[in-house]
Amino acid sequence: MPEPIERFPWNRLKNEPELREEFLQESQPFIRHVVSQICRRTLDWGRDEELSEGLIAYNDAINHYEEDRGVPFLAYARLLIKRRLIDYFRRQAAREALPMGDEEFERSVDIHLSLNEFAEKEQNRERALEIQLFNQELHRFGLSFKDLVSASPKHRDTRETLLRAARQLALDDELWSQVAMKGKVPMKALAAKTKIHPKVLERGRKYILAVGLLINHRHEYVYLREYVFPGERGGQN
Amino acid sequence: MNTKRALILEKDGQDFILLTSEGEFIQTKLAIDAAVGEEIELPINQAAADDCEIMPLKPLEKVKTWFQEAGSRHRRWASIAAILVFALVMTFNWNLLVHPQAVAAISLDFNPRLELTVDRKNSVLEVNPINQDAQELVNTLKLRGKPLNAAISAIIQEAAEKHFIDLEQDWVVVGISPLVEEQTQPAQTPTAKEIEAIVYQEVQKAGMTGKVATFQVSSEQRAKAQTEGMTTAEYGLYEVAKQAGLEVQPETVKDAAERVRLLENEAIQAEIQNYVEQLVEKFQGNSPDNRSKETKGSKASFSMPWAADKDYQSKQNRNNPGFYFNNRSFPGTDNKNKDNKNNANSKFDKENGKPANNHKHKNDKNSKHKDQRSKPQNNKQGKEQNNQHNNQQGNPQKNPQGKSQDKQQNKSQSNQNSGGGSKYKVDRSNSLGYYFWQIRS
Repeated sequence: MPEPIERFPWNRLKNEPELREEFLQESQPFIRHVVSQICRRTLDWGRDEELSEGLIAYNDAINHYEEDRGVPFLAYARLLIKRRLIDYFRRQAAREALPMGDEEFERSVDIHLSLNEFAEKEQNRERALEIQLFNQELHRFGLSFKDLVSASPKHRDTRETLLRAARQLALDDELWSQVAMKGKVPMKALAAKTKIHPKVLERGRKYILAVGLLINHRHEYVYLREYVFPGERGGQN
Repeated sequence: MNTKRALILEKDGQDFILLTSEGEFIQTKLAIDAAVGEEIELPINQAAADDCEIMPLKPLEKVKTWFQEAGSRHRRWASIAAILVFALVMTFNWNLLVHPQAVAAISLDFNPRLELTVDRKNSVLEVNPINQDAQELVNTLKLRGKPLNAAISAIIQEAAEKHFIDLEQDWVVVGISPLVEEQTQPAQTPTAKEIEAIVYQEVQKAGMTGKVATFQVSSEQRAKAQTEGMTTAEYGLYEVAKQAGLEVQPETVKDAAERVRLLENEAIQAEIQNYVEQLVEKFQGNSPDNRSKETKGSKASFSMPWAADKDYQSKQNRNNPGFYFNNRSFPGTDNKNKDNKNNANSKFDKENGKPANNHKHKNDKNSKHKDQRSKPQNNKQGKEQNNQHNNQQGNPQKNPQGKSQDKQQNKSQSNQNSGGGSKYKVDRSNSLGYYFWQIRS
């Protein structure tokens, strides 16, 4: 799912079942990622019911989403999935304890969340969670936000160069696997690929790594990613 | 103003770490109430857009100014109180706040050189001693706030007491320049005449020969003078000397002794006389057109405020042109001064004592001037006139008109003349050129 939403205009997505089917197909990694995170275990399509719940929630999100509300779709979808799953777990528990509970009633009350309710407060909380996650991940690489402030290139040109490098690094599976394994940026390979002078890359090492993390973990940093992926918000909203 | 989004990553009091929509991580201090995870809008400073200068901002969601923030309520009251206090002060003390504006600068050069600025009410705002002597002189005086007249009196008296003015050194060169546009203020500024009178009176009181030269200089010229390190008075002298076609260094006029030599140079005095006549004529008889033409033609480099501004004179209620040259001597002073006085007086009688004559005389000179400019042949007439002039003075002297036409010729002529029994040794190397002067009876 590189950037699926660009290929799926919202007006068509809501009205054309085939296109929506295709979109859901492409979104499976995202759904799986989110659901797995909530369940804290790896899940497989066709085996785990949680994924189906996630898919339903995702489909719901498509129905209720409005493009011009200024909310990233994936953020909205993710929240709906989480809610639905929490509700799902509750129903499971309730079923075990009280098999006679009124499931349908409970669900309709709990998981309903319109875009209106997905207000700033919710989004702020979501973003705060992302930031927390990002911070933890940076710590794993021995970085902090303060480091990034000093490592962040002040000049627009430099910044754009490094952003480009980070993008290539994050979207190249081979290169990124080295990052994931060794915990550092493969400078030579990256320089060869981007044709950017190694000195420039070296100076922006921390920055590239941080931005690369944001870009690569596309399912986690739904909000943060927009900040380092210029122009994406327009396409995604 | 353009804004960019920024996400709060970390917050420590007022210290924020942000991730902007341009992909930078920045740390900045912000006076906002926002938590981690909130989006805010950062104004982009246009001038420093590339450097992404960050200014304090308002958060996207909570549009709260510091005004509304609970924590800073006292600041609101403080600002309201400040505004009230300011309003009160403005209402009751408007005059106090507005008055201390310097409207004119008066410089006095004898040996001490100093400059005074006065406000609208003609009281002294600032005293600016320019050399050591002036410092000494002014130290013991409390001039600030005094009326200008009293201040000048005090200065002259003190100077006489401390022998900065004595029989040897009794020249006072006064410069006056307005510091504000004439239109913006009612003409309360001292006139050259008034100041001259005061200075003269005081010098006389001290028992000296009073010799006062007053120059009125425009504010632009004053600025020029300041860059040269001259006082307005010296600048006036300098300009006139230059006008007379002589090579003058700014240093020359700054030196008291040289200055006196200049001022007492009879050639200069003759030129000054000539000058006065022209000016008087301009303001008394000629049409504005002639006036400007003449100024342009003969004294192009010497721009005088009254020449630039036709109404200047009437506004200022001054009947005299900008240069005053006052020379009086008394029995008992040295011969030199006496003679000087006599010469001057005879001239004065003709020029000022009888207005009708005076006028005619001026016209003659003036026409001659014009002719000279256009036709060298008329020089003869000029010479005649000049001779006549010189005879009146009882002092065969150089030809003021010839100078403007042919400096070299004039030089040799004047050298001859100075050799020929002039009481004042005209040292050409030091003489600054022509002055005009006017003698008060």
